[in-house]
Amino acid sequence: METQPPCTDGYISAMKQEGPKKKDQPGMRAEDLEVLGPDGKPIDIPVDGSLGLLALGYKGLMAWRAKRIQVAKAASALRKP
Amino acid sequence: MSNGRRKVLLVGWDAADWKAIHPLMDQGMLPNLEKLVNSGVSGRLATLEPPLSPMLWTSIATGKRPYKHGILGFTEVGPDGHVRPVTSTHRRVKAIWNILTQQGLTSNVVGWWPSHPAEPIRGAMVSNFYQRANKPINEPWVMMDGTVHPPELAPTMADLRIHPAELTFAHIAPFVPRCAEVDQEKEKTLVAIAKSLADCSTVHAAATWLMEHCPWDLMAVYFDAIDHLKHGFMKFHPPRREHIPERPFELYKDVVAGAYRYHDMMLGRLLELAGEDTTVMLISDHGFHPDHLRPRSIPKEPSGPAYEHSPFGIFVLKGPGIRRDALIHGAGLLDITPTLLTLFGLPVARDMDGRPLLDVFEQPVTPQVIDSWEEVPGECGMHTPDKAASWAGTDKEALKQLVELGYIDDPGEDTARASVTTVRENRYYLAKAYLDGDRPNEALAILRELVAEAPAELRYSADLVRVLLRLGRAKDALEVVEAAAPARERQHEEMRAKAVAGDASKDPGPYILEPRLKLLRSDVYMALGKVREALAIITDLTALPGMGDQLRMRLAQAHMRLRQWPEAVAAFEAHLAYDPQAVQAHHGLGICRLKQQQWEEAADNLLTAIGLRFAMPYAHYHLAEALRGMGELEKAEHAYRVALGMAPQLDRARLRLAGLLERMGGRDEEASTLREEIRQRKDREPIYMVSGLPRSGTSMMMRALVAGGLTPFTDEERVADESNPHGYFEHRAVKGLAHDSRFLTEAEGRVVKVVAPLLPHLPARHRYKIVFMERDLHEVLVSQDRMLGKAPREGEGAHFRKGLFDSYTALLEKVRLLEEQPYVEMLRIPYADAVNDPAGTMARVNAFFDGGLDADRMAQAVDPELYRNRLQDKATTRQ
Repeated sequence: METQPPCTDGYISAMKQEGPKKKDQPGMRAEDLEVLGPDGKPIDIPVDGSLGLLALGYKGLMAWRAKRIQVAKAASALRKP
Repeated sequence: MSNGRRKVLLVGWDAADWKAIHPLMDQGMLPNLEKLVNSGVSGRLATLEPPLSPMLWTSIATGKRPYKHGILGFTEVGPDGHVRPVTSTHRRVKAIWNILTQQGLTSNVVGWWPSHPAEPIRGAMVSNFYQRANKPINEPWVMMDGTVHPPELAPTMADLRIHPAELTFAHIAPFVPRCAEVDQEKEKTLVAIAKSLADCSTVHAAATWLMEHCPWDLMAVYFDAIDHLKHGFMKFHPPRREHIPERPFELYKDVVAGAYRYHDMMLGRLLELAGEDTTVMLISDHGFHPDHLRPRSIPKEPSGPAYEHSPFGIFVLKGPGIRRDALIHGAGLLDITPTLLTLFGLPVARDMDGRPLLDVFEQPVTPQVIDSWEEVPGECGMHTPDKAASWAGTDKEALKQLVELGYIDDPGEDTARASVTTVRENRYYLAKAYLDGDRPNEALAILRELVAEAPAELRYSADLVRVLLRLGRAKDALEVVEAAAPARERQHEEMRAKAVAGDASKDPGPYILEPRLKLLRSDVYMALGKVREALAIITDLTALPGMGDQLRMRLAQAHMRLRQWPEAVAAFEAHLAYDPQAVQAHHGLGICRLKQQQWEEAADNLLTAIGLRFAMPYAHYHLAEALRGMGELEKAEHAYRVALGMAPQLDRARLRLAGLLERMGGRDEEASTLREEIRQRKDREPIYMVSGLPRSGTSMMMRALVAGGLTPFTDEERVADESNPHGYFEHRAVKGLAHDSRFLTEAEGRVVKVVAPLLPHLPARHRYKIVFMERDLHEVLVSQDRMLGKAPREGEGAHFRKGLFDSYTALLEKVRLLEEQPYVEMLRIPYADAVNDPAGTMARVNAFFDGGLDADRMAQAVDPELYRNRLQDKATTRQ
């Protein structure tokens, strides 16, 4: 069997150079937090969340968290005199 | 498969079971799984014994049984002496992601059990300690070191964790629609559901992120929530059984279905991210009874909840080059890694215990084969031995969860007691793994120790009886049964005294021989040929409620022994009506049909048995007989060969195959080769062996035997040095005996040095004549220290090495057990005798080797000058 040289270090350096890109990190840009429905249009995120959002993985999770922050900010603004 | 390079998504659903899935799929509740099944191949995946998830998922990832991979239970003892959840540091062999790393392929692995600390593979690994919330939501949730590889990903992964308290009724309601009715002060059920849901959603969030952001050839993600929710709520799964109260049934009857529906939703997302060209494999490690086979109660013993597991998990595979909408039979979880290797175009290793599932491919595939991936050099991303020995982290929350699930007892504060219990329990699982791997001799040695340590522990005695019966030692098995009853009675009386001391009304009454012990006795009677006595016990027990499932198979086997075929058939059929997946019942039924020359029915039954569990050489042999009866000679030949491939010692199959080939005509030469093989097996020369603890005179004895005329089995790799100026006479292959014993065939007729710790791994297929060197243990320890450059200081003796002393003492006891084996002859030679009286000693050795050696030259080869670490201040004592 021909063996391969160790690749782990190379892989890590590649990760460092190429990404992950900033915009892809959780909680970054608003457009990344949109969740599209079957018709391709953004769906309204329920503030209580849903299993469907969690099942979308990290994108659904971040969209839900962003919605909670948005609602909390709005509530906080309302409370201000 | 863009650019011809295959990508594989491997998804693990712990405890997923077709019996629960099919009704849900039929109702359209699992659309993503249904699509996957329809576009690929699917089937049952046979589990291993014991069916404990960390052992099983490691077997899945390595293709090896637990005694090879080293993961032996839910917990282990860390270097600080504390009990902790089992970690990846105890795995001794390469997992698929290590092999892929060596081949330049990239793996992302999330949540695999056990995978903490994360291994530095090519790719990313998020360990199984990642998802468990260990603090209230308002406190910092610190991620343990070693959770994520590469560490640069740790902050991102930390952000993706979901705390159970973050979830709302909107998440819980699909599982418990009437969750508002649950009094959460009294019932912790909703919290338990939230924990499982948060855990698996966290794993899913990490997996989806990695799939989108980190390149991969293999994406492996493991979910444990189906298992956890089933352990908590399967009792409420419809249909309701009589003993389940109506209110909790109504509240929680949707939890298991909800778990599958949610996993199907997550699967849909994973499939979407993977894309159409990716090969997808979905598996579970064992099943979980969803029906009348659900136990009414769980035994109060470690790993008791495993009684709820069923022996078959699920297997689904779809992708380029994979058959569509097809069923496969006989797959086992040891076959997963060999199949993955074949999918990647990499060789399968001979030292793996599984085989690639070639039936899944549209076109015939011939996999490459190598001896072992363990021997392939180069960085593979496994932990270094230093890290494995020293890593002292633990996850208290994970440990707590194992306690809550009932898999382990709470280790409590008594560290020493907890570690003893953990080590003992893991040895028990090791023995069960040996038994499952058809290595009863290794299981025997461990179980004998366990029964000696805990004579009232009926699990140990029961398995010891099974092992002894497997080895054809029914009289010894009867002794074990007879000894177990008084031990149980003593334990009962102690418990009774304690109960009465507090409150006389709590007196449980005198000891009554337990049904389990009676059943064991009937098993032994059956093996002793006392079939009618066995039958009497079985008949007597039928009066007891709830015993039916344990009695039907025994009843059938008793009728078989009495050649009462119709009665046996009726009993097997009764058992199959109760459990249609009972492999041994299908096999037994096939034998009964065979005996009645009902060839086609027999073949049908035997094919069903093999379809459920492929690795059954006797079932293949019986199938060959049935096919032969049907006149299907070529198919019969194939079945004989499969049986012989699995059990080369099965001379009955070899003989019948030889007869068949002669009958087929023109193949007399092949037949005579088979007959010659049988003759050679009977006439085979033994392997001459020298053994003992390191520094007990083994090299000296090897030198003497070579001088006396024996040919050594040595590669001369280890050269003479100051410690052994006349040479070591060793062979590198011997060190790997525990994993690969094929070299022993080459050693037949030669003399080979095998140190004592490896002796229990000798397979029963050879004969051995062993000269075992005995030397005072104190001398051995001092000599070993000198060799390692650790000369003891003045006044320092072996008492400072009590751990090693005890370990060697235990090992020597194992060697004594080996001496009982029919394939072993052993001569014990005290080292001091060999040096002080070489002529007399070598005369004994020569007689042991049937007098064919030159005893004078053997005696001359002894160099008394080398007896340097003699204890002067005490008489030499033998071990």
